[in-house]
Amino acid sequence: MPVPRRILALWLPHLPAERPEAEHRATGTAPAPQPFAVWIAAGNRQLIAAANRPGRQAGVVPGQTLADARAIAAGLVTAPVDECADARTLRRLAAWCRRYSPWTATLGTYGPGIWLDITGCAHLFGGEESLCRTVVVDLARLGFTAHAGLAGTPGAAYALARYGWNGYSARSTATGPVIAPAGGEADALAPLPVAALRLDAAMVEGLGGLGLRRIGDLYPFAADAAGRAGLARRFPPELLGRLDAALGQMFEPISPALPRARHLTRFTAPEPVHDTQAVARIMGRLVAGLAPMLAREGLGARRLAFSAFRADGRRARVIVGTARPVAEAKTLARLLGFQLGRLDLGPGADGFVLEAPTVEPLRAVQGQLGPEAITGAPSDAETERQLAPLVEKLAARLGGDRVGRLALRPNHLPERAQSFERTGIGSPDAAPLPPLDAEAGPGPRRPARPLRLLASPVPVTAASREPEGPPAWFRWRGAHHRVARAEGPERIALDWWTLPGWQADGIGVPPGFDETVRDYWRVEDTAGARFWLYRAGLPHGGTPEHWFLHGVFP
Amino acid sequence: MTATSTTQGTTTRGMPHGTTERRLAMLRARINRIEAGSLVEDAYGGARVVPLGLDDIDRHLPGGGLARGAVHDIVAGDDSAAALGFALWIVARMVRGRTWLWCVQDDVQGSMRAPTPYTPALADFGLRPRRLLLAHTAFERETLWAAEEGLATPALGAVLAEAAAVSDIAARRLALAARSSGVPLVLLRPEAAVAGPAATRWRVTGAPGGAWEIVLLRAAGVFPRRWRVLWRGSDGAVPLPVDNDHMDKADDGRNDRQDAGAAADTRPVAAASARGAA
Repeated sequence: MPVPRRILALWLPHLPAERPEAEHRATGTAPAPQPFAVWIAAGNRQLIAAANRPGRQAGVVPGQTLADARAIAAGLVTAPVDECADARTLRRLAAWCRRYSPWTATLGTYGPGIWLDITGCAHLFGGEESLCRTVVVDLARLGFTAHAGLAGTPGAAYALARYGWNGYSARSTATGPVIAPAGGEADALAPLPVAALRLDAAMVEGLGGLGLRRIGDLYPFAADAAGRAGLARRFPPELLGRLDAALGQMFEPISPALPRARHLTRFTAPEPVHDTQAVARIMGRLVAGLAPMLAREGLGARRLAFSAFRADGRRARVIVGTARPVAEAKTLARLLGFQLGRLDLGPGADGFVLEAPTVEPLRAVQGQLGPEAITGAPSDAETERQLAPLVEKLAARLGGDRVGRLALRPNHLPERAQSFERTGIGSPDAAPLPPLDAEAGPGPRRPARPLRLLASPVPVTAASREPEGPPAWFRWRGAHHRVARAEGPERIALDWWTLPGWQADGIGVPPGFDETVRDYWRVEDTAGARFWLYRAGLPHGGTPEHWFLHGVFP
Repeated sequence: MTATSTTQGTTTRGMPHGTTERRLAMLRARINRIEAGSLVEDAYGGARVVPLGLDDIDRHLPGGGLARGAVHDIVAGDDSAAALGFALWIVARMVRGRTWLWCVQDDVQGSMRAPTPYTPALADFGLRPRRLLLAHTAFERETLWAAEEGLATPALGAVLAEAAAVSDIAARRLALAARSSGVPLVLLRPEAAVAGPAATRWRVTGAPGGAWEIVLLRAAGVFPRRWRVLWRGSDGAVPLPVDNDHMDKADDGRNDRQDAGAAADTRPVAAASARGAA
């Protein structure tokens, strides 16, 4: 059985008047409370839209003319309504409300309020009533008066939050929220005025002319098909739609405004383009459009995707990453320029889109006054910053996985003792530099290691004088090397269980020989060149020896 | 400038013959000063000429070391990593805690030309892995491009690149890039590589007993010479006295004539420089 949907609606009737004060409070510059009201121009009259608490106590009510309000409340401070700022504040509050539920949205055109889908969230706050009180108290702390209404549908929750207070509902109290139990929407809404269904003034007036003033008055008509047909004939279809949605007979979605800004520019060519130079010019133009878009928001691109929509319906795309947030058009164009040659235009492309799918805030970097000022060695952060353009260029042309750093790994197997770590190009989670003390310094003596290591050991022909002894000679790359000196052996055991040939059944012999240990020898040939060779497996009398060359020494 | 040289000419004209050496030394020093003046000041105020830390070699080199902001060719004389070892020795002297770039060219065969640099051994040279920026390239043109980009970044301590075929034009571009940014380029080349406008060119091979045989093939104003240096891992490197007999045997005709000339030049330093000046 599905959990019944529960929607909390918050109505912030005084938001326009409370907003300036709340902003002052947030910055710690709140003036002493004084009567304050905002007005809105209606024709040639100026009407009060909202007043703060001292203003309301002085007798200022919404709908008064500005002149009346000034006459009633001496010292009333007024300002015109700033709808943009109000909407912005409301969006911020809706985002702030995600602490109660991940699914929040503003009421949008229906007025200053917020919807929260609290399905399955209430128990975290000690039940529905407790959650409502928490939200209202928290908003009051921010400086906003909120009325809460809770029901199974957005429409009913809105109606209860906005109109449930004014003595229409038997359940309403002076301070408590108005809560309709699951399935009890019809009863809870019945005493509310029809305006609570979010109908426009003309429709409310028309319903009033028929004597239909409360939502409950509509129920007899909505119950049977003939009544519905009558309502549908006389009124726009949204009346029945709103009623059904409020009563849960029709699903009304809430669309949360998720913060997802897309940074893209597009260009449509009049005819398919396949000339590389033309594409380069289009790319330059798109970059010139995108860069200021990013810079305005204080963002820089970490990744750029340039897509060409081809005439044959396919899409060709190149992606470049950066080592730091970049918003300069010149740098972005140069990075993309490296990759343009890889754009397969086929029969030509007529649509081009440049998008920055990954962005990061541009950071202002302050120079450090640290030990590097004395030693002359730059700090890591400073170095990274200075090298970022180089790393970007290298990664853009050579490929992001071709530029990086080597890191030591705690593994006794020579080929696994280091790893190549690509630099953090194009992804915000750049691999941090390994800590300094994790690196081997000139510390305790370690067995000598070659300067170059072959990615995989190369089999060589070699022969030794004694069964477990060093090679007497070996042949590699067509040259015969006579061994003059040898040091060893250094025995390194392999993780035999990871070797090929060891199957799940536990039985298996590696091909040809038993390579579970390697006996490494440092050998120097008669000319003075030094190599790292090993004999695979434990020596067995009579069986041929398998020698491998694994590295060279300086 | 013209006036100064005229003055110098007149003051030295009357000097006795025995001071020709001194005059040459003075002129040489002046040329060095002029040439050094055209180099951009190192970003961290470091010296423009970096000593190798190997006394015999430093004494022989003009200015007492290798110039930053120049290209230094190192020719690998054998299949061992001795040449790379000497290259890293130079890089370690140059970087002084800064980040450096190593352009590694992948070989299709996975052969010895460019196998993986091996981190555990880098510590022996005093190079920290975190200060190494590694760029894998697929072919010569990418390698040279990456090296040039690196040379255009003054924050780098040095660039090490391995390239076989470097055209004259590419080599000149690299030299100019190094000169204008002050970042040194150590170019590791196979034996067959052609000459280019490098400030110094060396040939390095492994020598018996864990040593490197280092031949200076070319450096402005000094004669070619050879040394033998003992590489002792994390304990550094020490110059060895050169064993003349042994060296002639080891040459075995694989060196060019320039080297043969240098091979004979195994006298003590003072004598050698006196002969060179004469």
